[in-house]
Amino acid sequence: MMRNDPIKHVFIWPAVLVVLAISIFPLIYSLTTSFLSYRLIPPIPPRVVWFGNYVSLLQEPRFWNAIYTTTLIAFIAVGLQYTIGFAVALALNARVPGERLFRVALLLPMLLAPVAVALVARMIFNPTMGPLNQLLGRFGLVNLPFLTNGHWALGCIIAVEVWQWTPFVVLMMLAGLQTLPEDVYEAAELENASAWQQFWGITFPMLLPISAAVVFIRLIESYKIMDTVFVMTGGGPGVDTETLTLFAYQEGFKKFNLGYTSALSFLFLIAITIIGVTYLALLRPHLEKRR
Amino acid sequence: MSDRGLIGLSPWGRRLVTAGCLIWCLISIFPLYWVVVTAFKTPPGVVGGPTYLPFIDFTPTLQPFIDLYQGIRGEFFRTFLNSTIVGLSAAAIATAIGAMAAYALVRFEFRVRLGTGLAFFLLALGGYLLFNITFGFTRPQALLLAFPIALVAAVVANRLPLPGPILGNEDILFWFVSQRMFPPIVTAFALYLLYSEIGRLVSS
Repeated sequence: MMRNDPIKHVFIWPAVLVVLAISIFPLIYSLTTSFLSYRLIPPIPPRVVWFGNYVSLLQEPRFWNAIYTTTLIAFIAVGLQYTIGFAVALALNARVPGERLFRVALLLPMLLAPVAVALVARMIFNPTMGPLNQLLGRFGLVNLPFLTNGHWALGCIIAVEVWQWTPFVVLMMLAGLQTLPEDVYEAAELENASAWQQFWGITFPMLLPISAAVVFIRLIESYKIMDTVFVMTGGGPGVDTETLTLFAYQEGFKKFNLGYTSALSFLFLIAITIIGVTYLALLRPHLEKRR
Repeated sequence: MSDRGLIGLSPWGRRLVTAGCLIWCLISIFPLYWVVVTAFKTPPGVVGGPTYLPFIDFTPTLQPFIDLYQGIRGEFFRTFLNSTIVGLSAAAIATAIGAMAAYALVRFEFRVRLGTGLAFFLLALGGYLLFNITFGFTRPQALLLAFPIALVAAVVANRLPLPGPILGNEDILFWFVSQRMFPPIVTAFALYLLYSEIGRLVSS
């Protein structure tokens, strides 16, 4: 029942005020600063350059490299997380032997702080004294450049992301699987539908809304990746694994190039909004069909 | 729920699924085991190459835990306290405010004109520039002055029959949720600058 009572303002205003204050202050501040040439080191008074920061940013290969790296990490990691997570959730839902143990063990990585995970990953990926090196040494692959070669480092970061966040997908998909009605499967059983047909005809379409939500959350979160990369490679070797957030951090908190960083964070915000809106627009027809 | 799903599979299929789960479980567990084992090693024991089983591969020691209490690293529990303070207070405030807003969005009807939102943003931006450039206020002061003015103006404007679409509860909910998309570095960087300017004002 929708009512109209003046008390409603008491309930909604605290949240509106907090969110407005936290989002509108930075927004206005970075928007106005992004049109200035403004550095703290050396301290020169700010000068209006209009779109100068944006132009130099769009011509900067390092910026495009950061976009490419972030996109690569986000899409590959989320793809793997979703595939593995969905498969594990299906197995757990079908009461695989030892399901209770798996259920606890599989969720553990999600509970750790990303920085701690990255520190552990550095120990494990250590090219001389890590356990992974010893394992691969048995197969004749000694001292692989896990974190010192651009491609390997990217792979390792993706592996850590997948390791840590697959449990989230498992958790969400398992919750979704447990809400599915039993009778459709009984009907499919009567029609002699194979397990494969049942999956593509019933399970997958019925879980599409929750899948869409899970992938969306993970994709947006992956675009903001920073701590894992910061600890594992620091963006290196060179700038091979530098993500957008890390690039902004280097420019802002290391070089104190304020105008430039504000322009960068604004472009970042625009890019992430475009990705989010495109994703939702692409999925909308599929989701509305199911209602 | 019955154990449907694995029923349609052959015995070999069942074994394959179980093996797959077991492998992923081992991958999940091994780094955690590694952390626990490493916690009981001496520094040379960590650098000297991988060892896996306590009492067989290496002699476990409690020295790392003793180090946590002493010397430079003795501040360990202070960090724990800091995290707890930040975590608990943030969780409490967010839950209280969020639950109130969720309740309001479910029980009551809200209607906000799109024009009001735009007016708010433009007024806040314009007011900030006006106060900052024309009247010579500092940036934090200008922001703090422009914000309430824009807010009051927006609330008044919402009563006027402005043209443009009207946003309902679902749109307000989407606006709240979409804040998750906001990259934290944007907020962190702007707030950092803002705090440092406020700090300079207070100390001077």
